[in-house]
Amino acid sequence: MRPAWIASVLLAPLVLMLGAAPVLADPLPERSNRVVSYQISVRLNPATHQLDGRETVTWRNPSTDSVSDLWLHLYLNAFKNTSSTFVRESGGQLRGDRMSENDWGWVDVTSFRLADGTDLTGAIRFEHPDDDNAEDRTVIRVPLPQAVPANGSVSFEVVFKAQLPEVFARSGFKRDFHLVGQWFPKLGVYEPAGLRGRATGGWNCHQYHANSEFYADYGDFHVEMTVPSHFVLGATGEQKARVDNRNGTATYTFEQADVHDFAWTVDPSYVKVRRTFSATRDVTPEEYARTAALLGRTREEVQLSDVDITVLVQPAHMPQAERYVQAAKAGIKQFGLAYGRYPYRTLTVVDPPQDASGAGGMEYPTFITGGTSYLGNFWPFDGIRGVEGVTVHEFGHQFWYGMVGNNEFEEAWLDEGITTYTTGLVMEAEYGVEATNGRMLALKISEVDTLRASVGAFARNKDTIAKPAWMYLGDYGYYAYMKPAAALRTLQGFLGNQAMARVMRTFHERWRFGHPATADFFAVANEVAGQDLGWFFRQAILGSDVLDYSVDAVSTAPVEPTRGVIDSNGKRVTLNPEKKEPAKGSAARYESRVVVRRLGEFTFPVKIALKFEGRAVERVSWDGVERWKRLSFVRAERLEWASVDPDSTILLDAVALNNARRVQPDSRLATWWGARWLSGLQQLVSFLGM
Amino acid sequence: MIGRALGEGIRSATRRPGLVATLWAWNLALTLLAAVPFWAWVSTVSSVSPATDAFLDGLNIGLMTHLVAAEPNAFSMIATAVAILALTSLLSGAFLSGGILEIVTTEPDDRPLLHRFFGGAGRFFGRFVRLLAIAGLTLGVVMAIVAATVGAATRALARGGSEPRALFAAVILQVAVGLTIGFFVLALDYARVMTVLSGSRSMARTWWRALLFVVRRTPGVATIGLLAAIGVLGAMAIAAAFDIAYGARTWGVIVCAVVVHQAMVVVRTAVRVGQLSAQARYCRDSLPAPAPPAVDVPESAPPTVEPLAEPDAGSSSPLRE
Repeated sequence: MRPAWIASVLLAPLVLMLGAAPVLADPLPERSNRVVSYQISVRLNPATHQLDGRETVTWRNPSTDSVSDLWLHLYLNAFKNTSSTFVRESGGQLRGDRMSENDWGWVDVTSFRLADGTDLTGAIRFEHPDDDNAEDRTVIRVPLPQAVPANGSVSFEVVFKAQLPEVFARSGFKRDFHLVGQWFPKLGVYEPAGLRGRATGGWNCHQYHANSEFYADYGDFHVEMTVPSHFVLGATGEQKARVDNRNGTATYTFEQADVHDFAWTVDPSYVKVRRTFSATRDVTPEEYARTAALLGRTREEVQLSDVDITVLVQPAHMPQAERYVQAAKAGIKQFGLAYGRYPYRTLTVVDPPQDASGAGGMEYPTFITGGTSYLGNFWPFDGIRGVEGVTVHEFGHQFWYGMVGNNEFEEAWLDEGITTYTTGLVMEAEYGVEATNGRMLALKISEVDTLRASVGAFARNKDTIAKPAWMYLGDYGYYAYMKPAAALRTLQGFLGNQAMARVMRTFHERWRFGHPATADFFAVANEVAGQDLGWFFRQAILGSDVLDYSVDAVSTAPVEPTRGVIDSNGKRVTLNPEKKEPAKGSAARYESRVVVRRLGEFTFPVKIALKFEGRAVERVSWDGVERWKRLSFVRAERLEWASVDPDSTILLDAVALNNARRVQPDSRLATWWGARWLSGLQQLVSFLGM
Repeated sequence: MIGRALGEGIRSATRRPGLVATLWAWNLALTLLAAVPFWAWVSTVSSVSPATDAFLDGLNIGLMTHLVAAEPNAFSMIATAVAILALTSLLSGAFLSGGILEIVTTEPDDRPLLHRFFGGAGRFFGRFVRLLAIAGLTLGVVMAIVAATVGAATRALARGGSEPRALFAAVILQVAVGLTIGFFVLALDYARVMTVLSGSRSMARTWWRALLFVVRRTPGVATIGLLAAIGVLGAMAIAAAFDIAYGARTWGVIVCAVVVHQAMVVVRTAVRVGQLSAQARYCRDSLPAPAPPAVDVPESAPPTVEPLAEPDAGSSSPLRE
């Protein structure tokens, strides 16, 4: 946990006491501050899967410090041998894909010269800032003969040779398919003092970990890729030229500004599907108006722009090509409306072969990889929205990672968690809430069910969300993706849809082309919500407490007439000396009791719903702080049931099954399931035993 | 020959309600041993929790995960109960088959149904258990060979990254495995039939003869087997369609569903009786009738007809090849 976050969270009440400023729309910045510039030429040898590259990099010092060295990532060295930090941590597998033991990956810097010709190749030193693994070769430091002054710049040329691994973790090859990501020597981020809570300026350049992604500065890329001419190529940005060479190769030139990475792919078997997202035809005036009203923005502020979509599809997956297109359009529209216009002119969606699925489900600027299987062409598998889910999620990263460029190493939840949360909202808007993530036969999978399943399975493992990605004890997927999504859904339930939509919009606007930290998200949320949400963030994001409320007991019983003595008009009267039956019919009164408990350490205000016979559901609020709360009612009606969180908005609740309790047992489900279970067992016995 | 066998099967399936009812009751009693603990557990979990009402509309993976996480021991207990039930069912099958075959192969017979049923079940139980062991052992060996050979062939087919070919290869492997299991299941049926018809006590030899029988008469054997499978799958499909078409929100629908499911089990049981009957008839008709006994029969003596039941004397029974 970073000390700066703590300070921010603790100071938030003070800020709010001084008065929250009215929230004003932050105009979307049209461009980044372009700290870096890469001019790269690279040649792919498809037989050896090697890259020969040369890059000219210009880096502008964005701080007021004098910077005397450069730090660069050599990501492909994560696959160089079994001693790399990546392989040590991952055991040679990622997301179920195993590393090949024959096809290692590496990148060698063969020359490093400054623009004036000074050769710094011999000065290169490997660094391992995150652990004690001196064998890791994924970060280098290059001391400069002359420090780069504040706002000054330095240019240098790097010649490199890289070997792609057989793909299992994002980047690599499979036969002629190549997904070339994290492939060039790439500068880390020089963070000035104050950025992301830093006390002093310095390079942020982490090793490649099993559970971590990336972090880089914005700039412009001009990349020339030479590949066999019959290969179909896709890349970050816009294609500016294609030149056919005499030796059977072709050189493609792509350019893109205001991005922080560049990836490309080739495969001779790709089928290229091109479509255009039209900001006028694919979005209705009503949708613009509704969005503007929801967000409190003008119609112009929510205007989108046209995008050229290219989907590179495997021939076997062609029946699913339009699903990729529609999902991409859904992403451009829904993310754009909710958070801000997608500013780039292109989007490339890559469909990897099924046996190269390690390359799938990955985000790069203007370039994402999906993933599906041949089975998905057919009923009933085509009902599972895998293509849509992964495409929308990876496109969502254009906003959370791409444009809001958080440090994925240190705060993975800011991109993965927020993307999972917003992907769910987009999928629901596009495909409905009932079967958001698909349906197969009688099974429907909603986004809420998906999150609930995750919380139910992992909530008790007790780790925190906000920590470096490689420092989770386990369950990286839960703490970086699912728990943050469940937490943000819970916050949405607390704040309301409009307030939460404005929090997310403002966070995007304010940090578009920036590098926010967790504390920056908290600050925006506090400001836009107009209240201190530190109590929530301390528990949900910074803490590990489990949230679990339950209805512990419910009862309802007729009220018996009072017995004993009472003093009335100065006389003592004995009432009902003999026990009487409770009144019946319209005179009957019932005493109903409900005990609600807080079983976890996480405190959260909850609604309690009560249903009395023949009456509409009533609600009472409880701040949820004490360990339990007892409610008592004397009514003419009997209590039927009581429920905490009746709208199921507290997705962080670890045990949903104890959230409600009824007075009279209902054995319908037991009978129904029992009958089906019995029938199933009878089938088994019939098959094996007759 | 097939027509006669199928006719016999249909007659047996439809005209032996007592036998079908006995088998259904046996099945129910055996299954209840594993079903009641499950029912009790679901009742405890769900009766007071309105949250579980969502399950009445179908499977809900979110709530199911909460259920599994909250009750991990219950699920391991249920899995253990199912495993024990499966093993018990195998032995039960050896017992019941003898009873069914005794009835369908010895009509007309004036003895009470249950007397004949349990008499046959007890008489053949030991032999059928041995047969089961031999069949299981053989199946294991053959499956290993099939998996190795077909697996190697399909891996070669799948090489090269073509997903359609890989899927095709996977389907071929599954079909090969399925056909092998189906072949052995049918061979086990015919081995039991032959045991009952011949009274043989040499199970290894009977098993071998049954394998040969199924190989030589594949079309007929497969026709009976397929029609039985279609009958069973049809009944299951109707029950499944009912489940999908109607939620289980009301008691009326739940009661109907229970009836439909049990009706499906009854149909399945009847189909099984019919299948064994058809197999017995087909087996008897496929093999040449035995030579009449070469003994002088006094005119006054009652006729004795024991065409196939000649155990170990090495006589001229057609079932002794």
